[in-house]
Amino acid sequence: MRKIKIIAPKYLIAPLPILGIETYPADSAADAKAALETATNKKEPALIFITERLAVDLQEEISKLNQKPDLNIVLIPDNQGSTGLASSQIQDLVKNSIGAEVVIRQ
Amino acid sequence: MPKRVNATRMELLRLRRRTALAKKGHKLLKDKLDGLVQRLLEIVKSHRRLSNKLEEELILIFQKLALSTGQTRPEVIYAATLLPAVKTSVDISLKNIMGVKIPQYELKSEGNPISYGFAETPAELDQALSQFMDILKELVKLAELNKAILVIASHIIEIKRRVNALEYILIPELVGAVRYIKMKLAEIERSTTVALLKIKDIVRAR
Repeated sequence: MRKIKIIAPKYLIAPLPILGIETYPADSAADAKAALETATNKKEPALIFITERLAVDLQEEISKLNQKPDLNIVLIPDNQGSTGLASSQIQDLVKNSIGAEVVIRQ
Repeated sequence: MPKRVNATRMELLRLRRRTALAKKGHKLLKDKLDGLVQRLLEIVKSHRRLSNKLEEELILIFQKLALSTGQTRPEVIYAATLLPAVKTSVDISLKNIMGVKIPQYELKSEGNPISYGFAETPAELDQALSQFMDILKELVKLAELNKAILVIASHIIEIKRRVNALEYILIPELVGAVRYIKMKLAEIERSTTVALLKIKDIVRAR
């Protein structure tokens, strides 16, 4: 059984505890780092969503934490749209593993 | 630098068996690698499709959430979140794809999200919450695909390293050692024949 947690600016996620989702408000990269530590320190399996804009400076920490089987940290766009960070991460990973870029025709 | 090997028939037989085993293992690992690459490409395609779809929906939902948070007094939202009527969690099961265990998520949620007073909250909040509840299942699916890509990609890197080690180091070394022993044994045989001929000549001369 995993909990769903979300790290995003407070004005976006303030009402989400109504849906049973744990929220960790963060308005800056430093806040996001602290929030990520708090969310992962509980040593419980969790599914953590974090907005791409907050995750820009936390890529190393996120990829380290994602190695753990209990944790899954997923980047999502915020109200201003996607920065392309999540898709570029996946693309780099696929490129490193199979040695070729995957182009998908729409 | 090739390892020193004993040029004996026993060693030759042992090395031949090891070469056959290494070639078999190499073929199996290569087949597994091909299968995993194929699965990875399928997962990447569905991940891309789902993330494109979710991106547009999430932007709209977050905009609504931002609007409703702005229109409502913080203490009202705080009061509404104190006793959540919905319990949400994710159940995990493991799926085996060619020996790689991939987590499968199933969203479990109970209760009605709209369980707060309507008097002081805007309609956007109700809409945003019910839309977020609808999209949550797909978000969990996106997380599942994300984890699957991470796990399969790391396995592919590991298997590739093993395949390369077998193909470019172990198998050539074994083949080289077998060739060396064969040549050494042939050389010993030739030298024995020459020695015998020489001894025969010496014996005849007497």
